[in-house]
Amino acid sequence: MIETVTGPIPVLVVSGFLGSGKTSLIRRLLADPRASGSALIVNEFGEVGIDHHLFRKTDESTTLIRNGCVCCSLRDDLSDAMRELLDKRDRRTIRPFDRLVIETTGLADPGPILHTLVSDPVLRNRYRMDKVLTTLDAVSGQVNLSTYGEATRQVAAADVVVLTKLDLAPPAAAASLRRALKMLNPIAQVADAHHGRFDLDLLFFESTPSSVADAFSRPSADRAGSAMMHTSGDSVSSHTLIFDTPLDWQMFGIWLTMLLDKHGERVLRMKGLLNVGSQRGPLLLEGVQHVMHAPRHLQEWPDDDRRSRLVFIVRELDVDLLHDSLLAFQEAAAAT
Amino acid sequence: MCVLCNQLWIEDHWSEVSAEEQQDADNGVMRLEIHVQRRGQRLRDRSERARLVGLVLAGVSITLQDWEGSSYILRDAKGKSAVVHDLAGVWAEVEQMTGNALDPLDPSFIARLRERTTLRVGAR
Repeated sequence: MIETVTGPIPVLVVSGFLGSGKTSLIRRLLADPRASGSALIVNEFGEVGIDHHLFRKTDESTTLIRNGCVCCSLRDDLSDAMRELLDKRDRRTIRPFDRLVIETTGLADPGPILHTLVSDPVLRNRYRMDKVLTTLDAVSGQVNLSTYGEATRQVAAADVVVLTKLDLAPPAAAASLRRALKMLNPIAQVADAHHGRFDLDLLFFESTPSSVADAFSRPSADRAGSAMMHTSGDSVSSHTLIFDTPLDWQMFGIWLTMLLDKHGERVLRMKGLLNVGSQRGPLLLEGVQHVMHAPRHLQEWPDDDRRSRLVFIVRELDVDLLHDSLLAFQEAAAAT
Repeated sequence: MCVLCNQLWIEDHWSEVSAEEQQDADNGVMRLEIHVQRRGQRLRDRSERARLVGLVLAGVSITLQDWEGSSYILRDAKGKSAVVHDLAGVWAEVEQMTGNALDPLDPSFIARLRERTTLRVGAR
């Protein structure tokens, strides 16, 4: 019998550039008793001690759709692996698992992984995205961010960034990397790994709408502002837009679908806590490139601030136009 | 199958979530019975959404109409029409109909939208 009582299975995506410590992190994860109910999808056998865990290996076969936009491509290998695990779980040929951990390759763009998860009709009903964790190497992280677009997209998509190899990096380099990280992704939770060890609670703590909303209460994301850094020849910037009056949700949806249709590849990450004039709490909205997750209504605000807050991490987009455009759409709705 | 909508029910696009919707869907996956309960609000939302899209597309003389709560119909001034499932499908179809992609960040597009807003307010 298909098990539906427990709801969709949470998915943890572990991302990070080549040599940034993903395997060490997963090895630590597997050693923890709380991970005993986890299934794994890995790219390579051997490095991770997976003997007693459920696992599947993938080969990164990708189908491009939507005129070849990379973030909207589908990871067929991943889809097949996730379906196979479900099939075995439902037929009880493997023991039930209550969490899925996906390790990406060092050069993988998280966009197609998330797109596969939300667009596949079977997967989106049986799994749900819990969080993206990205490892960032304190020794070469800064160089990777400024040289490789993949490293930038991995950090932009992260809910949690784990700084690794801090014991090997000069303090000044680590401090500089922290500043860059705050500029690039002000809503991510940052954790330090010391000698390969870090707070595993970050992995097992399941995201709730309220905990996600707490990201907006962090100092870097609770005030309007912009930060920019140059990465891999592009200018990537993060912006926090604040709106004092409630937003017309219908018009916001019209504006955002139009924006993503035209500029989705440049919107590396978007997260919004919206006051839509509801009697209840705010609406939480988040997406990576063209991929938007279903908005969630929160029962209450995370703090006393009732303003709408939108964080955009964009590549080569004019934030003033972004802000002005949204205002013009809202004015059009308000004038009717 | 939704008996009221008389069509195969599929999950809504994210932009179809109501501003007043309660958090009783399971992790973003709405159950069929909730979909049926909220049919009235859903139809009102769709009608309002179509009207607001009309404000945005007035510059290219295209209108959007809800069709039975299941699809939307785009129509231009020459009588051309196209069916789209949700908002995400609107913009590519508008590009097909007009031969141009509308850019919400184009300063002239923003200026024309504001002009029309000002005219509407002035005409009251």
